[in-house]
Amino acid sequence: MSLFTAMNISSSGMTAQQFRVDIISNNIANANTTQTPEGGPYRREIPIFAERFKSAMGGSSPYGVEVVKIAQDKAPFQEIYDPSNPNANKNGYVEMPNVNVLREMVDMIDAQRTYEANATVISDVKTMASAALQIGK
Amino acid sequence: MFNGVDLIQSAMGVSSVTANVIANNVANADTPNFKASYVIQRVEENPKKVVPDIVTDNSTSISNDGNNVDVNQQMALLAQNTIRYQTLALLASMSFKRYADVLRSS
Amino acid sequence: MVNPINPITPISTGTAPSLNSNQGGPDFKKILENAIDKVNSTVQNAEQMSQDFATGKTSDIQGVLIAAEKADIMLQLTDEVRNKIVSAYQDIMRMQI
Repeated sequence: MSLFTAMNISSSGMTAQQFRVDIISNNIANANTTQTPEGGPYRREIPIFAERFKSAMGGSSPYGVEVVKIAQDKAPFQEIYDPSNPNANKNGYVEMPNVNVLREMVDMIDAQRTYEANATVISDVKTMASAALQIGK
Repeated sequence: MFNGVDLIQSAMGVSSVTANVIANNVANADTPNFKASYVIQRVEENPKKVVPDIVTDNSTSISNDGNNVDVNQQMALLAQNTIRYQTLALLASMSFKRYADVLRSS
Repeated sequence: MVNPINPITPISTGTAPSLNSNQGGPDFKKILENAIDKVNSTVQNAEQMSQDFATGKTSDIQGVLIAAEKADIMLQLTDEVRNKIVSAYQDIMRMQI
């Protein structure tokens, strides 16, 4: 376990959070999408993270985080009354995506904070490495 | 001859393991059911050195997805660990400087 | 009449001051030994404190670093004093008698 391991771990965390922001922005962008290739309105997507391991001699050690899959939010679609919409059903209701923009914004702030925390770890580890380089000077 | 420096070196090793564990905790701050790990330093004799013990805290949960990483606490631990590492590096450096001073004066 | 030559009498019968005699002041060797002992204990104290820091017995960073810095200064001072003593010795050796 060297200090570089810590840097790699944190960079995997940063990548994961960046991916999360990608998904969040896709959710927000599609907050009003009522048609998808699969049919029906857009479903909110959620990235699923899992701990990543690196197999080393005689065992495995934690090695950061990875995105294992993109799950879809099972929550029901919101229905709004809009008979003029081409996608309205016979009762005049349109199914809207189950995306709550406010919630996505909160998630985005959370992702941003965690991204910063990972960046702080990298910068602190860098400080440690340069302290070690000063030995013998 | 270098007993003191060897001990400091092992403590710096423990510190670097701690940095890895903290990095892993922070990277997994949003992983469902992930439990934070911590490093406990254990002292061994003959030769005197310190070794890291990694323990996982399975007892608590601060969010409803089973994850118990408190990023703020991890940041505090990280700051402590970095200062500790820097101090150890400085002590090792000064220890070497003492040897060099004595050698140069003869 | 020739008087016999008187035997030569010693100029002085007094004894020359011994180098080893204690002239009231403290012994130079003692002073040096004490100083070296003090330097040694300062260095050992610094070593002990940095060991305590490494094993986690203390987290008193300023105390540990000040002890280490003291040990450094003490060693440098010892070196300086040693240089002075050696040059004084060489001055005496070169002295024309």
